[in-house]
Order: sequence, then C-alpha cells, then structure tokens
Amino acid sequence: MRLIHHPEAEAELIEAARFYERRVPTLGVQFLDAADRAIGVIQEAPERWKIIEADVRQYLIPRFPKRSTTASCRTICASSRSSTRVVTRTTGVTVSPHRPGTPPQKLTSDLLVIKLPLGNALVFEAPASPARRRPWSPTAAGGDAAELRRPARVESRGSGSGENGTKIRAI
Amino acid sequence: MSTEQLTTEAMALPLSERVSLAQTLWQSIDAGLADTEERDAVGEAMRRDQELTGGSVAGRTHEEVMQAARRAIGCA
Repeated sequence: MRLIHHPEAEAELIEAARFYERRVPTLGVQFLDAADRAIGVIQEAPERWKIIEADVRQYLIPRFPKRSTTASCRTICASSRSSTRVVTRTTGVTVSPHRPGTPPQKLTSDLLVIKLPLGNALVFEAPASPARRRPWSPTAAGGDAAELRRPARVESRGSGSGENGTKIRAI
Repeated sequence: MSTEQLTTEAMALPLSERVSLAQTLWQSIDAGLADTEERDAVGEAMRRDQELTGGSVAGRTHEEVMQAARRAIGCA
C-alpha cells in the first residue's frame, strides 16, 4: 500500500516531532518511529481496533521498552508516545493533530499497561462487513486474533496508487 | 534521590499507580502542545480527505514525509 500525506498532516507531523525533540533530545525521533510503526500496524489489520464512532476506530500507540540504536540517528528506543491521530477509511489513512492527555480507556490491564499512558490515540476508520460488525473488546482483540488480524477490505483506486492499486492517505 | 533510585521505587508501585504516574509524566512532557477535541480532529481529517479526493491538494508519499520529518529534527 502507498500512503499519501495531506500537506497539513505532514506539517503537523513535523511540528510534533520538532516539539518532542525540543523537549527531550531523541524524543522526536522516537515519536517518528512510533508513528511510522503505528501506521504499519493499522494497515496490516484496520478492523482489529476499537470502534469509537460509526466506522471510526482508535488505536493506542504502544511504547516499546526494548532499545535499539541506529548508526545515523540518535534513536535509542523503538517508539514513544505519539502525537498523531490516524484516520483510515476504506480508501485511506488520515493523520491529524494529536490529543495529549487522552483519558484512560477501559481496557484490560495488559493493554492498559502497554498502551494507555505512553501512547496517544490513533483514530482511524475501517468499516467492517455486516457479519463482522461488532463492538471492539479487549478479549476479542487478544483472543480472536485469527479473524481480527485478517486485513480489512481496502478499496482499489486504480492508477496512481500503490503496488496493488490501493490508495492510502494521511490527512 | 537519583533517577535510578526513583525508577526502582516507581517500579515497586502497584500497576494502577504506575499507570497513573506514567501518564502524569507524559502529560508534563506534552505540556504546551496544542490539544484537539477528538470529534474536531476526525472532522478535520475528513475535510482533508475530501481535498485529496477532489484534487485540490496533492499529497506526498509516506516515505517522503518521514524523510522530511527526520531531516527537520536533524536525524536524516
């Protein structure tokens, strides 16, 4: 899939990265890593995540404690709190400003530990087929992985798109 | 108290208190960054999506954007 960013989304992403980098050196890099990784996770299985409104879903970015270093960057951690909100639709992924201080969601303790305090909300849209449309639940997310990890249908948009013709957008 | 000592103490806290502490720390880091209501953000995203659909704006690829972002913070 090819992800396209709206110019304003690009500006916000860069602004957020600069903000975090000014606050704490390396935090901006960690943020970009997290945003990059989160978008990949959502693209793999948009239907897996919690529905917050109609077909709009939310993904909380996890912060990975495992450290990794790269030669060219000051990256010391795999990810960090995101300041990006992602909205995916059947035809796209959108990214808009983050919402700091997002109140805790009612998740299981495992998910809470990993995702709540250190990750911000990624909100995206991923309509489920009628048979599969049902409220998200932590149990389902963890226990019904075979179905929930199945990639969502994404509308083909023909030329000008990615390898398989799928158009993804960051707005 | 050193950072290491604080970390050790914090890690000894019950799970719920660690979650609360972590959130408080992150909120202190985020202080100063503009907040956005969830519904407003989703609406804004939809508007941008329509702009891309209508062709009134042209976007850049994720790779280009990430490269630009890393350059912007001196990590390209």
